[in-house]
Amino acid sequence: MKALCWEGKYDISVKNVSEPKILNPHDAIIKVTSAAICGSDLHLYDGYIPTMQAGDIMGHETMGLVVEIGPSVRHVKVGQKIVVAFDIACGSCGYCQVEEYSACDNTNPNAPMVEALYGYAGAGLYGYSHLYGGYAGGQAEYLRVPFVDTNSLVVPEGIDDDKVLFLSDIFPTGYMAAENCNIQRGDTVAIWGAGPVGQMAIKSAFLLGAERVIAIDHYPGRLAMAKQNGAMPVNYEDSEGILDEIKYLTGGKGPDSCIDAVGLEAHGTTPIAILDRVKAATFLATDRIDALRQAIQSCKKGGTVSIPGVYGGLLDNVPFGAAFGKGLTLKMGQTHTQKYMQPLLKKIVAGEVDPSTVITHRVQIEQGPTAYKTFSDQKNECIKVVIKMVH
Amino acid sequence: MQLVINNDTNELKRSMDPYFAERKNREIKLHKVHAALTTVVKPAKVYEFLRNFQNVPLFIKEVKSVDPIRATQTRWKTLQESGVSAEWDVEVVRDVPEKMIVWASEQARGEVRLMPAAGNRGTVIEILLDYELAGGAFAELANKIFGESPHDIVRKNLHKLKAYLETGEVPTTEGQPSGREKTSTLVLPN
Repeated sequence: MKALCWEGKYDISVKNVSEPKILNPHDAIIKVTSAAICGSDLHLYDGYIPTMQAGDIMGHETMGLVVEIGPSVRHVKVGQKIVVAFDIACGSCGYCQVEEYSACDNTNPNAPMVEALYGYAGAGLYGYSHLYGGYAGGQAEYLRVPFVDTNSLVVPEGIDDDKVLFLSDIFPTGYMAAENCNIQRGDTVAIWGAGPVGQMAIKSAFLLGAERVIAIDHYPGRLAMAKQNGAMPVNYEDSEGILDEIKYLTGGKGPDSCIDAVGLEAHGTTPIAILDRVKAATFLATDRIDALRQAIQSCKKGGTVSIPGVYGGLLDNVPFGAAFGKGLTLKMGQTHTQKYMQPLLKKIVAGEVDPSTVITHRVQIEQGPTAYKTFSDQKNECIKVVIKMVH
Repeated sequence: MQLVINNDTNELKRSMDPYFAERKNREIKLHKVHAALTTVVKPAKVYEFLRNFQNVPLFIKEVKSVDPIRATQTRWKTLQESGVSAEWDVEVVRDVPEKMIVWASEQARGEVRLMPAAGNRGTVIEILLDYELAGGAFAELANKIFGESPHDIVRKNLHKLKAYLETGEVPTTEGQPSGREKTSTLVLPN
């Protein structure tokens, strides 16, 4: 089968590799129909994430037709079309039992490696480094889906892939970010980053009752999309002081909650590697840390800062005093995707929301390497790339 | 404000706790490896699974077979991917249903302790392994078989045990496709 493989920094190849097989009794194999490139895939592309190995298959936003199931699969059937959650959960451990799927105890075969970094390991992810389990990703013609009953959503017939594909990651991610804000009717929510997750967070904040959403970015194309989604766009490059600007826009009070949909990647496999990478990242990516700083600084007293953006290591100069002084609530973490797939599907089917509006590019798998480059270099025009599989 | 750390009180508490007292009597410091994990599975089920050593190959793939010799003795055969094989006899020297299994082989002594998790939320599984008894020979053997230190092996296998108990499988990526396969070929752009 054809698959997009990570070969090194800025180097994605299309390779013919063997097709996945059932390896465990709760597995299924799907014939992929659509797969998206995620903003977080660019962190792999840019070489930010350690423990990638040349030849790793990319991709964690995937859907397709079930072609084979393992002997212990109970609900999913061959022939059904499923959307696959980006985080792999076992469905049985203490965390899965309380729907904290991304904290699953059992699915990361490399858990001891993560424990050295974070104390405890969360769920394995598709195509997202060996630190996160080393699972082959879904930017390929076929994908093995472990614990398929837990990690998939069966798509009702007659719905276009584009409408439901983002239930795999960015829609639940944006939604959980907004839900973490504990939005009350009439609230103002400020969102840093008008990329795909930021756009989903805008839609979700409105769904949850926000009266006003302020979107902060510096790409006019992305801000224009935020505006289409109903947000008030703010280009921080045009503003003399973004903090003053937000204060002014919120009548001197500050947003009720702030969402950092930007994030920062600074991983390492050993404590020393973390320190090295963090030092490097601190200088290379100060604007990214700034998103979190600004969110904390801008937020109203007693407000919530919600962080769907990914962080990996240690952060310098986080205004913790401001967070304490204002009594902020900080909420963060990988999305418990499985918890949100079904309720969000209902909203899509009911016509309350259409996630497909973020798609700007549709390509075939052979154009994958070019699509990565476009997504990386032309963030203004290229917001979301979907790979359409032609079998 | 003065912060007082009263070691004596702590020590007293520990000596009153039969669990800690027993550990102390056995000079716990000799144990070179100790690890604990909590599972949602109840102690009775964990005990039942573990007491039957023939279940071990279900979650540790390097252990190829565990054959009974007599009621308390089993013969373990291991085979590493590299082809290195070994076998040894394991004797159960103490067996307290739902609480503890202690075993010994020529090179090592180990024990599993099971305790109900706080709030009746499952079981704390604790593994203690003392491999100094044979002057480091066990560590050498373990390294030969598994390619890792006993500490890493215990931690890793404890994870696998928990995964198997909770889900009925040990999650793996071995055997999945990648662009590293010798048979993989580059697709040229259209």
